[in-house]
Amino acid sequence: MFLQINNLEKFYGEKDNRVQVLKGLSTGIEKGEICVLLGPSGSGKSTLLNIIGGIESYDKGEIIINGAAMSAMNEKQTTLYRREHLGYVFQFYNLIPNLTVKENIEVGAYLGSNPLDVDDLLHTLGLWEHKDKIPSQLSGGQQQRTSIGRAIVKNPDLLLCDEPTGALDYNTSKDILKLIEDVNRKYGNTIIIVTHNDAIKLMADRVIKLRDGMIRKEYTNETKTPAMELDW
Amino acid sequence: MADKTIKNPLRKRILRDIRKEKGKYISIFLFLTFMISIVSGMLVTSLSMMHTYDDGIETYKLEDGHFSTNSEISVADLQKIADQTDSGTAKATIYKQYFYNFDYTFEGNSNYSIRLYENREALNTYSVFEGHAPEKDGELAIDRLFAENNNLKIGDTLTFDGKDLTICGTVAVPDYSCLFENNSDSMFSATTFTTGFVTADYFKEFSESKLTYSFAYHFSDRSLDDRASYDASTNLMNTLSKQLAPQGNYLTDFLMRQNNKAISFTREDMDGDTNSTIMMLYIMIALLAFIFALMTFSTIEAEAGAIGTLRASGYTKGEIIRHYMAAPTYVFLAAAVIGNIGGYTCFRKFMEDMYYHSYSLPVFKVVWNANAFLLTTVIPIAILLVINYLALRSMLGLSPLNFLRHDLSKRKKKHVTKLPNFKFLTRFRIRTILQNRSNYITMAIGILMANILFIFSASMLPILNDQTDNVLDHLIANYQYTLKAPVELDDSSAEKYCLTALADDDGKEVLVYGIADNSKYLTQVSMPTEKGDIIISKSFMKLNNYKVGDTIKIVEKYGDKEYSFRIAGSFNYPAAFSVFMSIDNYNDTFGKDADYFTGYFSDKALDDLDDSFIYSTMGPSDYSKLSDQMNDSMGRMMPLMKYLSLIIFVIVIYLLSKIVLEKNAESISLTKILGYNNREIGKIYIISTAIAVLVSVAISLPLSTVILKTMIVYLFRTFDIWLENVHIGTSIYVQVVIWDIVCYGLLSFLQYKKIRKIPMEEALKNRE
Repeated sequence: MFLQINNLEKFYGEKDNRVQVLKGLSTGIEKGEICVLLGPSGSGKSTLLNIIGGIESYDKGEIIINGAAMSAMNEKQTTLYRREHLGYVFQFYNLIPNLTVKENIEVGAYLGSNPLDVDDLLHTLGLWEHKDKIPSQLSGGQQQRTSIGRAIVKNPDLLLCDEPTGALDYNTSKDILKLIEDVNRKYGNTIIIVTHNDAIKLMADRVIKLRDGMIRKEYTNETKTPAMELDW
Repeated sequence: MADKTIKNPLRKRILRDIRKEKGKYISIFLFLTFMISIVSGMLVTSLSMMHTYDDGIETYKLEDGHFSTNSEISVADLQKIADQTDSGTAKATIYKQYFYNFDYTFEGNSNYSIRLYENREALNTYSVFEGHAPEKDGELAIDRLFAENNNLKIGDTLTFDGKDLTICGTVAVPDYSCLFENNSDSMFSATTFTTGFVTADYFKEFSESKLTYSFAYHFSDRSLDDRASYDASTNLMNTLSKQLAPQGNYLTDFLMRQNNKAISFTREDMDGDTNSTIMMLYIMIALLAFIFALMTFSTIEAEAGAIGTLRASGYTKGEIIRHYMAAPTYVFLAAAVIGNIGGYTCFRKFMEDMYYHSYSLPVFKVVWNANAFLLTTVIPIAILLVINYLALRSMLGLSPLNFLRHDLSKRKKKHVTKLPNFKFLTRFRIRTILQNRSNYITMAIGILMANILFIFSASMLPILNDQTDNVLDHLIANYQYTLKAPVELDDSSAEKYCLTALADDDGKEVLVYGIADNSKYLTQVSMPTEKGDIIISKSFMKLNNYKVGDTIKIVEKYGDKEYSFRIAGSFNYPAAFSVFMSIDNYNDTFGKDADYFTGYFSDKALDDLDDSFIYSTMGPSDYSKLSDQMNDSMGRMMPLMKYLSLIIFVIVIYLLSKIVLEKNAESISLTKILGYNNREIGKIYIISTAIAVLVSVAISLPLSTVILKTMIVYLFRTFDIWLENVHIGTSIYVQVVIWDIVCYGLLSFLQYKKIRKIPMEEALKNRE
């Protein structure tokens, strides 16, 4: 397994206000898979993604990525892990407002020891014509493409997408999902997508459904539906 | 895959950030450039001058000290005594340096005096600014600054001792770099006192009655430090005192270089100016560093999502901190470079003129000074970097998730301050003030500094004048004549007194008076009859925290005798640190004959008194030397300080009010959507800042007063003056408040303009 999660537990709050948000999760994801984490609000899916991304701590259990146990990493090593192996895409694009599209992507490229060619990627992302625009001159979809470009340009082993289509309309959402699919196919990254859109599960290799901090259902798709054929 | 050749792309936004925030950065840049120019100009000038001054000790063969004797003694005899002195390697060579003191009238003013020397060739040689050294009878070289202050030119004539002398040159004399006529004077007087030089032959033609037998000495060992030189001088003084006594001779004056104000004041004053200016620069830099940090905080709040993403993607905390520190650092570096250039060019000349207007300095050469660069550039940037780093480290130490959630509050539990049931607008304003309290606290500190500077610049000269008035109001008599020897007068209005100068434990000069019984002049107190009991001046009492009943020790300045006195009372005599006793007790204490006296008090000039018997005269104009000279020397600096204070006030409020508006841009936009108009929004935000400004001004006034009074008392102590009351006039506070209100009024227009410019879309974009 590329990513192994064993008995993961996470609590928020202290004493009387202590709430358990992850209740002993165990699962695994193979290298190169697209995994969709589904669940309603408060099910713990974003918390799980953030723990995998090393930006949130956990209380019990273990996460092993590519053979490395996260519990053994200190803050510096966690940052290094994120720097070398992770790409992040969020619902809100969080682009740097006074850098151009190309420069925003270079912000990601700077972190990688062996980044992808930025110009090639701009073509892949369909942003070549917009490369010199700043974020406020772009549509939401174009901004999300840019943020995906920034995440994948360093060619990360693991791409984490937190509600990547949450702020987009139907057609743009499908475009973005297709882009994620293309990236996975072209570069072979392992991708975890957190969403509450049930339709997206069809494009995944692996689907994990969460509810109340526990895995309610987990399965792999024998046949995947291409993103452009998804409907909701 | 591409080669890893990408430089950190965040660098590209630094210049764009500066452009985006150009209003803030330009104002900070201009202010910093101005400050650094002034300080660098001052430092380069003063350090270059101090360098020249230090070099001058050898170049002009500056004396290690001088002394005067009561009668003529040959240099050879004095040299013999000096050679017997056990001063280790510090062998003193004695030089004759006789001088005449002449009072004279110039352009109708009779307060002028000249100290006339013969041309110097071996010791204390001078540098000629204009013209030449005297070469023939009737030629006179005078001090360059005195000539400038009195608009005297080469070829002009000065008349004294019945002779007309033609000015042939203007000079700077190393043992009179600061024109103190007497070492006991509180202040020098470069307007009414000058040194003068004539040829050796012509020197002999003046009235001997005005001659002082003065000698200077110079140690052969030039490696002596100040302490060793001081000790060697003390040994020389003690030997001279002992060896002269058997022949009935004694020292009338002994002044080592370290204690000679005419020599040391210039350097100490430059040192003091330099230190206080640097301190002011550093305080300003610290304030600006906080403003920079607050500006960056507001940018970070706006960019929290992007920062969270960068941190989540693997950017380290250090990389983000460095990025946000870059723009202030670049702006600062640019200001430092241009400020230094400005300092070396424009402000150096200004400072040079200012110093040359106060001191008689030799021609100096500007030298590039690494120390000035360190003090004006390296240390300020270190202050900026440290403060910014510490502030940003604390804020950027939050987790990436905090940034992604825009949760930048350090405190876990957010306390909501409960407010009384005020009107809605009042509560809104209070909430705005509470929300922006760190900005407003920084603003208050800036306003306090600006107001301290303003009040100082406006009050210093009036305080000086008050002190002079206070001295004049409490004079014992309008004139105090000190005689060379007791001379009886027919004039019954004059009253005899005795006077000698001793020193307290700290070496500060104390005048000891013997007052006639039932004095016509000193009527406020009666002299105690008990031997050893004294009345002391209030200033001396306050200076040393003495109380009535205390026993104090006063020592000889040029000998080793000690006297103990009990304080029986005090009265207000601000002219000098003084003690008073009856004339009988005085003569008894100092072993003088019962009819001995040293001078006369008189309310009118004693025309019957032959000039040849007068050692010195203190008239009303002598007591105003301090204020006259300070008015002259500081007159140029005070308006500059006033402008600087207003600039600080405007910049601090401009920057911080701008930050407050930008931080609240979204709320302002939202209130616009809700239907509030610009005027109503202005009433919330502009009035919130106005309240903060008014409260800051109100707090700053009493605080400035306390700080300034402490500072000014300390400053005057360096002039050997105890200020009884530091009175800062009400009109100065009114001026401060008016200027502050006018400046804020103008700035509120800018704030209103900014509010008008905030679009309604602001609230709709970036909504997450």
